[in-house]
Order: sequence, then structure tokens, then C-alpha cells
Amino acid sequence: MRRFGIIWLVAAMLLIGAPATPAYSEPAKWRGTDQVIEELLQQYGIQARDPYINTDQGDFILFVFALGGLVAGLVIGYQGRRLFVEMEGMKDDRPGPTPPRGERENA
Amino acid sequence: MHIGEGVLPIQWAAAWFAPAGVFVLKGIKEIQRRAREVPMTKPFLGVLGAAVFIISLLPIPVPITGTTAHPAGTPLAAILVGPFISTVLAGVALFLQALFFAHGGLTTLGANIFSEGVVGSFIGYAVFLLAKRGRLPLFWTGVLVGFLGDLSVYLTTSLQLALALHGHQPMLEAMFTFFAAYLPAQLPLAILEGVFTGLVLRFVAERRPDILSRLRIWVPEKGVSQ
Repeated sequence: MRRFGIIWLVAAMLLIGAPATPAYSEPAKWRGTDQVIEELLQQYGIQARDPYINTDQGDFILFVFALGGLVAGLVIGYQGRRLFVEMEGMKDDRPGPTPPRGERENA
Repeated sequence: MHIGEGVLPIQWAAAWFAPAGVFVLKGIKEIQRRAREVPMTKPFLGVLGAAVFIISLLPIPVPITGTTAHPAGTPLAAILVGPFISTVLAGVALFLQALFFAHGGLTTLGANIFSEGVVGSFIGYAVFLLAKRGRLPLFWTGVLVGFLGDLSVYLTTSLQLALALHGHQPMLEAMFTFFAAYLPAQLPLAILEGVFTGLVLRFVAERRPDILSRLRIWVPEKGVSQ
């Protein structure tokens, strides 16, 4: 199943992305889609302002992204371990959350 | 889907804070209630919050278009913690991204929370309920939820841009102009998000099925495979 999923994904990325517009068919520049939209917005006379805290300057943005990834990774690792290892098999007798209305009526 | 700082006229930017705020407030109350009732809520929200933050910031290269795009993450979160709490997680992620990561904007935060948080979560959750009613296997439920939830986020962003900026152009035409610009990169990403959502659901079902059953997400039944 997993192998089928990966094959399906790769095929989809290659085939479904084919109806790319001419702008997208240019050599890869790895712009973000948000940048693509901001360029389109210029046709509407709209220019995005710089962020209030502009970290998008040289390698500074790399530092910020790396730091953000590190912190998020630490949180996922720490809390994930609590959830999937330390709390595994934990018995809890307290009542669970209120089920959605449909389930309450069916119960 | 991060609408940048200053893109929306101020009245539109301000208007989107109202509906987004309602859902965020309801979500905060939901978190407080859930934390009292289910002890695993806090670590679960920690994992999911960090995951939504990183997923919605991750620029994934799409070779066929030569651009990068990012998934939403909220459809998955909506299944696991409900759409209101998922909106709060998206709100926190988008706030941090606007403040420190030059992604989105503080003035457009309401619009971005509405598209990624509210619409991504509620469409994802609605698709999940429908798939559950149709007794679809858990993996394929996740695929559908991730795929449709992701596209709904970008459709909403296109609508938000078109509503505010269409000028003399018909609104629907402007909306589809924006959506067509998103689509070549976002369609493969939506498929990727669908597969990712399905795999995560299956992983949780295999490792901690009690989480899914306890949160009333999925109860193993005869004849319904993962």
C-alpha cells in the first residue's frame, strides 16, 4: 500500500502538474507560490509591504527558518515521546469528551 | 496562502479579523474544556501545534512548475482535535510566521487565519465526517481530507484576494485568475498533503488506537480497514 502511494504521488506530481502556464514553464527558480501571487498582484497595482520585522534579508532568513525548525522539531520530539511512549497504555477513568451531537442522539 | 503585509485594503483586512476571531475564541474555550477532560490533550496539542507550524511554513519544491509551495496542515489537525481547536493552532502558527518568518502579515492575519484555520479545518472535518459515514478506510479518508482541505484553503485565499482587489474585473473571473496561479504548484502539493494525512492517521491508528477511539475519531469496526 505504501509503495503504491509513493508511486501514485510521483506520477501525480509529474502528470497533473503538466498543465502549467507558460510562466511556470520557465526554468526553475524555486519561487514560492506566495511570490508568484505577489507578482500577479502587481498587475492589479498592489505591492506587498515589507513585514514589520523583516527577517527576509540575506542569510538571516535561513537562520530564522533553521531555528524555527529546530524548536518545532524539539517540541514534536518531546511531546511526541510523552504521547507515544510515556503515556502509552495509560489507563484513564475520567470521562472522555462530549461526543458530537449525531453520536449522542444515536447512543 | 500567506497573504502578505499590506496586500489587502485596510477595511478588508480588518473585516476578516471578525469571523476569524469568533472561531479562535470558541477554539480557546474548547481547548480549556478538552484539557480538563482528556489528560493527553496538552502533549497532543504540542505535537499538532508544532506540526501545523512547520507544515504550513515548509517550502516544498514542485519540480514540474519550478516553484515551491507549502501544505496547510489544518485538515489533519481538524480530524485529530476538532475544527475549532485546529483554528487556534493555525492562528498561533500564522502569528509567529507573520512576526518572525516574513510569511503573511500582521494586518492580513485575520484573512490568513480564516482561510487556513477556519476553512481548511472545517472543510477537512466535513470531508472526514462524510468519509466516515461512507465507511471509507482510514488511510483513504485522510487522503481525501488532506487533498480537499488543502485546495479549499487556496480557493478561499483566491476569493479573499478577488473580493478585495477585483476592481472592474468580474469577481469570479478574478478569483479563478488567482486560483489558476496557485493550482499548478498546489495540486501536486494537495495530493502530497492527502497522502501525508492518510499516513499520519494510519500511524496513530497503529501505534495509539486508543487516542483515536478516545477522541471519538475512529473506532475499529469489523469490515472497516485502516
